Amino acid sequence: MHQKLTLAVVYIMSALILLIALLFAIQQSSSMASAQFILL
Amino acid sequence: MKKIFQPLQERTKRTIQGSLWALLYIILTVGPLLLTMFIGPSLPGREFWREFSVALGFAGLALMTLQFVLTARFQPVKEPFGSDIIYLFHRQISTASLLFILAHPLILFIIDPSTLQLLNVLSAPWRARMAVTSVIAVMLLGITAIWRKELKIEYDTWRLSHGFLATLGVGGAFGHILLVNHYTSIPWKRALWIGYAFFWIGLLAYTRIYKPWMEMRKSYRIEEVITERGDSWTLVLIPDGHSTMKFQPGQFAWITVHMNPFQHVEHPFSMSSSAENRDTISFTIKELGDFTASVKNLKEGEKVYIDGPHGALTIDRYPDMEEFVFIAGGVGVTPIISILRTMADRNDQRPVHFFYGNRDWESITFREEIAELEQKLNLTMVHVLENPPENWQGEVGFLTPEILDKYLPMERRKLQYFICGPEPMMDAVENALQKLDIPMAMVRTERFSLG
Repeated sequence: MHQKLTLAVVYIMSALILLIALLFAIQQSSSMASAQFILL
Repeated sequence: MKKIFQPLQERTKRTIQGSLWALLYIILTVGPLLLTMFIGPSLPGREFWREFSVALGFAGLALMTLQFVLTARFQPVKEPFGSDIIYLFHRQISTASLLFILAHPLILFIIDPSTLQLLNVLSAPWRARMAVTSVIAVMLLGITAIWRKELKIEYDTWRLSHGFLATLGVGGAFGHILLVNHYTSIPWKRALWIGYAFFWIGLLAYTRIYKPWMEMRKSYRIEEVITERGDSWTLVLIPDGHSTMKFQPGQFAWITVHMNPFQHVEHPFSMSSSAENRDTISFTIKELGDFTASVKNLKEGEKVYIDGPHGALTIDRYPDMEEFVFIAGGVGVTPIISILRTMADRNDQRPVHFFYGNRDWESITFREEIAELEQKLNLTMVHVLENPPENWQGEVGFLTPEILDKYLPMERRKLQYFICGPEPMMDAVENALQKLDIPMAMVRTERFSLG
């Protein structure tokens, strides 16, 4: 039971990391203005 | 009102503590990326996939560094979750961390095949050598952790190599980041990653030097080795000129014999003695593997070192719970016998239902003592035997939902459950409790397959 719960937490955290990595890559590879637009 | 409210308050407190730790964990993982995004000065932009691979590398390294926190056995970190869940999370999140770290070079190789030349460590610059060392160490770490049994690696050898490879992997990655010097060229970002590196070195010093040193100062000696039923032995330890470690009944500790604590060859076992016994401390160990097979040959007077107590499988976490259910298989009885002995010493008359699965009647560890405890405590025993003797009137086979359903009281959803035993038995019992609609929050387990 706990295994499924911790696995769900790991999936959520991994998805969050991927999302932030994606935003980071978008921002760093484009101008600050467009990145801020995406972030906002 | 108080009796219902108090446990909820305890649970709420632990839930809040756990949530705060989880939040801090996420912040420390993605914090460097977010800071780089929001705080300038910005660096000249590079192509999307290169930046994406760098972000995954940073996040993977931060996650890997935090594994040292998870496995350092810090009491405040363990408290809301219990060691069981911490190690479970460590195994799962490490896999994610490994995938992020591997994705970093793989993406670079795909977008720019010329970077493959950096794999030649003879001609590559030091930043690439560091990266190759780190990635190889992390890959070996993952392979040996996931397939340790299939690769037939002894537990002690694996633990030593696990610590060494993790150190090499993280150390190499920090060296790589600082030598590449792209994001770390800005002073505050360099300071941030140097800070991470120092934090990690501090954790290493704590686990590798400070903790073993503290263990050395509080050693124990073997007073007696008692043969128990079910191929088990009880080690009775006496403190070497200091007071006995205080623990809560049902908890476990890591013990080191034959070696000193700096060698990090230690094994986790539950205390089997009463928590009220301040003179000696006992561990009951079943012969299952290389180390456990040597326990019967230990001699009186030999030195033992203890790191503990650990674990959340204890009634002391639930002071206002009115009724308990213990479910044990084989030597999984050790934390339970500690709890029962403690309850007897405390004259704790709260109702207890104890389901105890064993191979046969003769191999029931602590059989006679449990029968005596039935007279002293408000204890309902249910023995379940795979191979029962002739004329056996009790339950036969394994612990099934039907057996649990037959003996559990109607108010079963409000009881606190503790399960300890072999992995397949614990999985089966957890599923059985789910079928009986027992809330997961009321079930506490202790699994010792920590590797």
